[in-house]
Amino acid sequence: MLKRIVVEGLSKDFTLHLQGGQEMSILSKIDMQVDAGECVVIHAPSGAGKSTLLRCLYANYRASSGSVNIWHKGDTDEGGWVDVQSAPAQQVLAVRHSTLGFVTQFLRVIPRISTLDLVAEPLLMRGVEKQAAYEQAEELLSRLRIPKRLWQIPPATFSGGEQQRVNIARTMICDYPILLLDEPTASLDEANRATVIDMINAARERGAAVVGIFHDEVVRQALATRIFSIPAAVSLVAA
Amino acid sequence: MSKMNIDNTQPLLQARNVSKFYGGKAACEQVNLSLYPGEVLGIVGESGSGKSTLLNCLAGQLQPEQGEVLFNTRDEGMVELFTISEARRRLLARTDWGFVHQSARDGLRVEVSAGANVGERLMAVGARHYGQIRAEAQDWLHRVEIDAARIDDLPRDFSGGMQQRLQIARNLVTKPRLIFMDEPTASLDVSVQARLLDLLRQLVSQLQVAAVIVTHDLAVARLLAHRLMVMRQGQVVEEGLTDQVLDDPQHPYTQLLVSSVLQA
Repeated sequence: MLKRIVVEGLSKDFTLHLQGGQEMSILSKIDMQVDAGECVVIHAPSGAGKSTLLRCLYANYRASSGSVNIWHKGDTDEGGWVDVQSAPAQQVLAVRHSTLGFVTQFLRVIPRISTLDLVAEPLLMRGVEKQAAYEQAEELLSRLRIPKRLWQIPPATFSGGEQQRVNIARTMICDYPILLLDEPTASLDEANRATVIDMINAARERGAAVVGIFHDEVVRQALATRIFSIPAAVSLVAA
Repeated sequence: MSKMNIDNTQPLLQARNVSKFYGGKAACEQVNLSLYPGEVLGIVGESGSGKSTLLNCLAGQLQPEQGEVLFNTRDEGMVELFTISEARRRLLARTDWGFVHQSARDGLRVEVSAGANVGERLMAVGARHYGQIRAEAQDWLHRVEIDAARIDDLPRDFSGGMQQRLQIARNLVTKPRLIFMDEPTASLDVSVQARLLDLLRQLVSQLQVAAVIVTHDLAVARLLAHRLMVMRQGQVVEEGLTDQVLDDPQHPYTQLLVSSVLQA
């Protein structure tokens, strides 16, 4: 199989300086591999570091040790491995731009930007022609049942479920080779949940490597090709 | 945050061990940085942390006691800003970079019209055709959302937000490769801030201009910057991608800064 993510010896500790330097070891020496066409569901009890692991894969969190190697193909190169935990900032941004799609639980609203603009933006930044980008954005918003009357409004005032769907649309509009999903269906009704499941499965079938956190058993059943358990290794050591 | 053009591997601007002292006290100390074309670097920290001093050193306005500031010029490659002649430094400041001040009044000429404020910059780089200069000024007023009918009005009659947008037009009209901004939104009302931020975000991404933005506002930094440097008492205490620094702050001071922000 085509490897897409290779994690080796990944550890993540937090030092809480405002709490008297309390140290928390959340992840300890994690090894993980994800192939194209897989959907790996991270499964572990609350607080065991599921989101932390996902954020380390995106290099949003900086690992204390270990590597996160991502197969990345830029616009002009032939592809190769990039350790996003040690690569220079410019390279990490390039990997995120064309390889890593990340859906978090919360939408980061940008003042004055309409929902439609927000969803079309990732395609426009990839150089897709304006009309095509907006057509795709409209199609996705329709599929996710965001009413047309909301498209021209910035999503700041939307409900949690609506914001989450806008967030999903904004990522799924690009065919990222790797998708990192942190509870993308958490506050969705059944119909929308089914739509999102279809989208994720379609992405996996076209060859995307998917890593996700899904609390809902139904969603897990529908998506997972493999379960990845985090060893429960949380230790709290006062400094 | 916009996509960054990364095919340029040579930095546009570099600081090496830059230190500036006031009365024996370091305003900024041993600062190193590289800025690449199209990249937006945010410098955050509280008042007195040395971020504006650093910005002025980077922009060639304040000579550091130690260290070098290198700028990659179009014709001669890397030059050190404080070893070239003052005339050459001024020419670079007019043609290759812009400086947006916190107070628009420091960056505008309030006694000449809005159109002249923009057109003057074009004339400084050699434009002579009145009709073309006026047309370009008009186009820029439109791009920063100032009504074209105000072209002959004096900026002192503009609102704070309009003055700030005019200052940005004046700085971008010559298509600089780099723009320095010192707290560009600090003096504005929140609703006006949002408009300016949106505008800056679009312009920076459309024009692929690199920027160094000094701000104490972490939300502004999050929206505009690819990368952040956190300064405290003249020292860079932490740096990284913007979301890394704000979501996973490591230094005690950054943790304090991030946790002190009011959630709206």
